[in-house]
Amino acid sequence: MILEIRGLTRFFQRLTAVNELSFAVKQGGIKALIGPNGAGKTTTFNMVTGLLAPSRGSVFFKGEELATLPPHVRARKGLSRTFQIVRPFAEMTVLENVMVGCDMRTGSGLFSAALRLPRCLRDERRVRHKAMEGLEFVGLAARANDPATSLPMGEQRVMEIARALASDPEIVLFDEPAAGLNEKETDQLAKNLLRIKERGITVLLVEHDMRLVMRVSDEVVVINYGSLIAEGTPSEIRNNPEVITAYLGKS
Amino acid sequence: MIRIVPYLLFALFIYLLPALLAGSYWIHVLVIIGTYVIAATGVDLVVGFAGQLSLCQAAFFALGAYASAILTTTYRVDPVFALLIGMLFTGLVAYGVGAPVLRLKGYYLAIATLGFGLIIQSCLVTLAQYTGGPDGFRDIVPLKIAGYTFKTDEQYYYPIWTVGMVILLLTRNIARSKIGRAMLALRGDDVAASAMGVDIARYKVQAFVLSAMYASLAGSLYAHSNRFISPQMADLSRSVEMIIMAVLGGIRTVFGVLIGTTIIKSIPEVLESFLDYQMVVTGAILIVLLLYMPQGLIGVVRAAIARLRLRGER
Repeated sequence: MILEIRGLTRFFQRLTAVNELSFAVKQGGIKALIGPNGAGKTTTFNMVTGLLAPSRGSVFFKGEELATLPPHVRARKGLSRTFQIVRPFAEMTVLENVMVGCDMRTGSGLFSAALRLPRCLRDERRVRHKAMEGLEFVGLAARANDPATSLPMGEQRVMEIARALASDPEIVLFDEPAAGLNEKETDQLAKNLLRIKERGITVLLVEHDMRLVMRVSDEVVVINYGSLIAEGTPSEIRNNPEVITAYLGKS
Repeated sequence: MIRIVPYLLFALFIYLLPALLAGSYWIHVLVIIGTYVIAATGVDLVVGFAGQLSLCQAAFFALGAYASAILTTTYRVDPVFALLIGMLFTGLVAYGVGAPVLRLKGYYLAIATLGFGLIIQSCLVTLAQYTGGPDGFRDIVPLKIAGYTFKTDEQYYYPIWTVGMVILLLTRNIARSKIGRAMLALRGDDVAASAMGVDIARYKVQAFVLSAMYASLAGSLYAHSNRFISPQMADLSRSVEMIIMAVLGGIRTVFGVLIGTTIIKSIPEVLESFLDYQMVVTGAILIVLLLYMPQGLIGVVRAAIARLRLRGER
């Protein structure tokens, strides 16, 4: 188990957004976290990535409790992410955006940067090469030198995938990656997710698009009102009466 | 390698300039411009790259100036040694202030740094036994490097512009490294930067401390070359002026800082009655900048070139 969530709970004033949620993510697979609007998916996501502190419970990554570690430390430990609403770095090119993701893996500091010592130049070359490879992987190499914000939204999402993969993470969390994508783009996303899995990188997918979830996931967790209501393979979930009720309402 | 040529030509130009202007008052102006280029480069780093609106850069400038003045003139410390102590001291102060204050964002950060600047200014007025109080500090000993004493503007011109160009070069290198990328990323989106492994608190403080040390260095050089300093130099209006220097020419570019500083420091020399309207004019420049040319003069030129090229292609 690469990622384990144990008894995770979060209150917002008197509202319980996530309640005693526990599940685990197997190494090398694609796990989807789904649920109706307001089920607590994003709250869970933010607690795993470190943007939000849990009221109770804990997150374990490779057996180590993440507790109050800030997001950048989690990223360095191998936990990467994309964003629901794209967050490109403005005033930077597509390539530079991806390079920022690689940079945490190089050691040269202020001194060697200021004097452009061989150490820094070598890191620069390596990072540039690595970022370019990442852009080729997602098929965005042709836009490498364009300003990131000049890309259409769909391509900005693709860039975020390259950026998230740039640091060689062990797990990537995708926050509704299909939101706002057309059918063709969603198809490309599904292919990319499967290729990421092929590279041995674990994926945790928070998603609304059922067709995408059923197509790519190995396992699915369903939450509603902050609690887990079902867990299993896509076909098990599809036929689970409780899940159907949660999505369609009681009739 | 070809990229080095413009920089070498520029250095050559700088070193030959005094020969063209021999005896002219403009040497004096150029010494002032050189000093402020150093401070404005720091502003470009903290405001332009890291996106942290600091309104106390003039206070750091004053700290360096007073450190040098007091140490060399009152305590007879070697000027170069005093300058380095000033930079270290100002850097430490910036670290102490920056670590808690840089957690604030936008207007809150601006107000907090503004407050810090006011504190420094009133300290300089109050601690009159060391600083000379509101009347300022007079007769500062001249700069002395390895036994050579600098007296005239012609003599100050070379060390100040050499330091200035070295600072510009080092800063350009930092800006083009992962440090520059991290700062630009945190300016663009701190949540995403943090998720990509950028220690945003560290880079904010790093930019702030570096800019403070640059300002201190500039302040020390100013104190020696001008031989008189006063608490007025820590004023908020001076901090705003430094930001305009960094932004007017073109933010995040070496030549932008040079152009911006040259314009701002030349205006009072060209327009004699300018001193009466200084705040009005700098205020007007700031408004025009923010509204019509966020990329500065270089941005305007670049856009014009791009437009011409587009027309040529048609």
